[in-house]
Amino acid sequence: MALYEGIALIQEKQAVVLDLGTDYTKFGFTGEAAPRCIVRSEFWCAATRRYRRVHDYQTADELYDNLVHMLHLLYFRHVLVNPKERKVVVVESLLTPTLFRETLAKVLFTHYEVSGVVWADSPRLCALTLGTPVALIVSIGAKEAEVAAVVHSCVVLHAMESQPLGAHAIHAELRRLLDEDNDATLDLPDLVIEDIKVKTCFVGSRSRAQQWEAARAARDVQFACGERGRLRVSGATRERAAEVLFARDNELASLPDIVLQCIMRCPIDARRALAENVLVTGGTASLPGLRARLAQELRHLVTRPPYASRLHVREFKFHGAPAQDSAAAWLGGALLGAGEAGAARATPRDVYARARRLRDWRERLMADFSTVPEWDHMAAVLTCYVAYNNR
Amino acid sequence: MSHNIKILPGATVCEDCTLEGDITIGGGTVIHPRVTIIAEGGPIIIAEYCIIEEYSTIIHKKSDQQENPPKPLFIGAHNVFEVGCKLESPCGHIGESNVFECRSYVGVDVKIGSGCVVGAACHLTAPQTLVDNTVIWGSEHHIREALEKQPSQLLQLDFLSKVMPNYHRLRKPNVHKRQSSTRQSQEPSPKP
Amino acid sequence: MAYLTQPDYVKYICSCGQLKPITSLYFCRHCLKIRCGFCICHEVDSHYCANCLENMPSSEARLKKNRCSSCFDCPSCFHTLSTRATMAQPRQTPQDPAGGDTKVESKQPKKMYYLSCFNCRWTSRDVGIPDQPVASGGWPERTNPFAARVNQLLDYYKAIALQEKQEKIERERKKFTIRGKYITLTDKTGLTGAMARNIAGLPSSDSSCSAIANFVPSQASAEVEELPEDYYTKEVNLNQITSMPQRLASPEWQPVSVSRLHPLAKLLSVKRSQRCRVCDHNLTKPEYNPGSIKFKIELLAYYHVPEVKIISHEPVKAGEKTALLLKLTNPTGHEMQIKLLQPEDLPPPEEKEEPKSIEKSLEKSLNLEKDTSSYKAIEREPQYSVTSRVTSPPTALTLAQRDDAAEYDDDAQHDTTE
Repeated sequence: MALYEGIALIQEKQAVVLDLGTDYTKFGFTGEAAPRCIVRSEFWCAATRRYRRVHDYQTADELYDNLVHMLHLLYFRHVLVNPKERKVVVVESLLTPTLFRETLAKVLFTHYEVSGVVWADSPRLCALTLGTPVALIVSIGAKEAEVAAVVHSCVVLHAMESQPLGAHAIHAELRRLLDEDNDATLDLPDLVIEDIKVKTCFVGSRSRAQQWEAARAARDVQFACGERGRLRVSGATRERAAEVLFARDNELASLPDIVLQCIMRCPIDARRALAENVLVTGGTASLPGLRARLAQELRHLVTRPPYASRLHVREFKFHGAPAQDSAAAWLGGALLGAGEAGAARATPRDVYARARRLRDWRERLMADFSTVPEWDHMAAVLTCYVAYNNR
Repeated sequence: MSHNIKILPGATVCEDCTLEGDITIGGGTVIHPRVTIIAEGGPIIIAEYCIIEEYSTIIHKKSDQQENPPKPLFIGAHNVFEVGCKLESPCGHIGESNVFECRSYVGVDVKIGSGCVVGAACHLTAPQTLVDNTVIWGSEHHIREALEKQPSQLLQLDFLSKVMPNYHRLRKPNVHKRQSSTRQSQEPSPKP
Repeated sequence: MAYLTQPDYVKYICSCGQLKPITSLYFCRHCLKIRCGFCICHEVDSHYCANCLENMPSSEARLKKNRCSSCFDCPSCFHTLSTRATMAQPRQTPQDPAGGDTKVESKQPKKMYYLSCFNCRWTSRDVGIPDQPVASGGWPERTNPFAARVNQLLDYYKAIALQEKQEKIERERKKFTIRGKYITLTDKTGLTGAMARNIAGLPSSDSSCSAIANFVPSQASAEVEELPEDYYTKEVNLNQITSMPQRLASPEWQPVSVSRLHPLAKLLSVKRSQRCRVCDHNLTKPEYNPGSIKFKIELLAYYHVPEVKIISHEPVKAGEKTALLLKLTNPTGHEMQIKLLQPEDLPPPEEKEEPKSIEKSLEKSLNLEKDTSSYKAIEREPQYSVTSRVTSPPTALTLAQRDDAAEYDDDAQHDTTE
């Protein structure tokens, strides 16, 4: 009996990595270079006879049901493994609601009986794919753009910035512009809007945006859309849909602004390094021209008030993650879970069964480190990595 | 309505189908039973080697600005009309080697080039022009361009023209002169 | 009573508190309880390809990343691709690079195969994949463009983890030598850490050091790829740009242009066996053969739980009594006692002993969406709304056992009505 247990310990099952995004879910195995599947975060609900999004929930019970269905779909339709006695690396945003985390933990541990869960936050995982000690992660997702500074594998929490500047903001703007183009309230479904965005939209350069009426407008596109016939997508719409990310107002809440603000709030000795190690990631980052535009805006804005006097960084350098834009954080999870160090630091099932709750970075902010004996293991392992890096 | 149906030699036309108006059916074309072809707005000319399957409907619609004499609806060679498809057109020209899949519907203001595929149950109602080798499929009307024309169904035609006479009463070819077939061969290529 | 196309009028309470139609319920013979898809444990039983119905052992499936080696899906519309044969004449498609070779090899026509989709007419020739001389397999495989870098990163982080572990062991040993009481095996035999690593089957520390030393962190560059100037003025050909589903169907490449679409090896399907969480007995177990849809074990509630059908009902009016006609059927070979209870008399899920407790709802309007979820630890009270009361007969009803001969008898009447 003991012998068999020993074998079972050596042949630990390959863990799975789960990145449950608002729009798209990335799911696959650790140690692999790309997720096995990227599917929409929705499942077929037989009772209501329509697709139901995982993130549409009112109560914890509803969320629990949604997650059970979604994970069932992922495990038995896409990845085809038994969830039981297998570890999971969960890639999560630092701003994930507690209710979501706790419910996900409940689903994984009690419903699917996984043996352990590694809770890993996406900024550090993105930094893991680069291997650099300092990185500024600009992650533009479905709902929000998050800017987080990772300095020696610790997220500078008080410098973290987040604004609702993601794919949904672009979709809303595109919807408005399309209505203008076609002089009608089109009320297109989300999927069609996304399709139009993916196929026609781009981000123009800064010089074009400054004088976009003078610049020669981009070509119009006649977008065939099923039985609705053809929609006119004007050149201006194609170019301006994503302008919402760069639109500045008095609150200084545009994408380049929050990047600069994040750098500004970081320790002074890390700022230059952060600016020279920017990683732009997330699904929306693959919009053509977005990276270039962000770079131009950053270089311009940093010479203007209020940044010019307080931020003496003039050079910005950009990384490319060894993954497709939407899967960079997932790849970090796959790297983390593959090493023994990461997998060993999972929250085991029995620990969860006793405590029935998860640790969170917020409670560490509240409490003094010395009074919390078992502080986040993740931070420990990642700090170790960097300690070696710096030798 | 004048019934002037010309069936060229080599065509296989079942008796059990509705043909109304001025219709010319080219040699080698196979028309299955229960097909409806109505030429109310002008003549319909169907070129060689077409397959028109059961319950398909081809209507040359009457339109308000009718020219005199009415323009014909010309359907090029090697077109396949699958079961239950419906084509309505006031006039014009349909290229060659198109496939109209089962229960597809092509409305009045749709111009069709050559080598196009209208997928099963696709309803094209909005005015549009299908350039050569366009493929439309699915409920969302996905569109792509094929690299080459759809292969012709010569084997199937061969088989059908052999088998059909065994099971169906056929209409006899009534045109034996070659002149109308030479007219068709002069314009086999689609006009844009 | 369950319908394919209509809402489920009659729902049963599972032992976990879910309301479900009888068709999605199971009956555990060992716990004598109703179970549903929510409160049982699903397990992957066997892998097979849904197209060629070929079984694949799970180890092989893992190796092939759960993809069938001979079947492909269309990258354009995700329909299954079919293999088509052509005679390779000297007339080859111009973008076919292998065309020249085959011409040289043999003068007579040779059978060549390509993949074609019958739905959207996509062919492997569209993207310039050369035709293959064999019908199955041999299609070029692509490698992930980032594979090399990801492997470097993996090695690097593994090496660090190893080194970290090593140091931890050293530290521990230092601690223990002070006590000096317990001598570890390595100390006694004078084996060094390197030897211990050998025994453990781990790579020697030299290689891990080199992995760390040779690792180059990602290099940032100041240049960002800008859009070409003609991007703004260029005509957009929508047919050349892939849609989101087409991109995400191959997560490794996510092609932007239609010309980069490659056939997708078909994802395998699994047969699942289902297990009761409480007693670990199988509730269903499918036959191994992918072509068979039968089960080796199938403990469905349909075979054990009386079926309730609403035969007819009068429109419900406030304050008035209306007639409700129910039909109860006993599917078992034993006589059955049935008592109709009011919802409030229903025993709570934990104490519920008899599996025959049934809940009937009048109309779809009465059937609220259930919210409860289940696991042995988190059973909840079933949720339903009651807008009318059913006056049930006070006596228990007796349902006679199933009469197999009844199916052949026209006037057999085994229904109990209320």
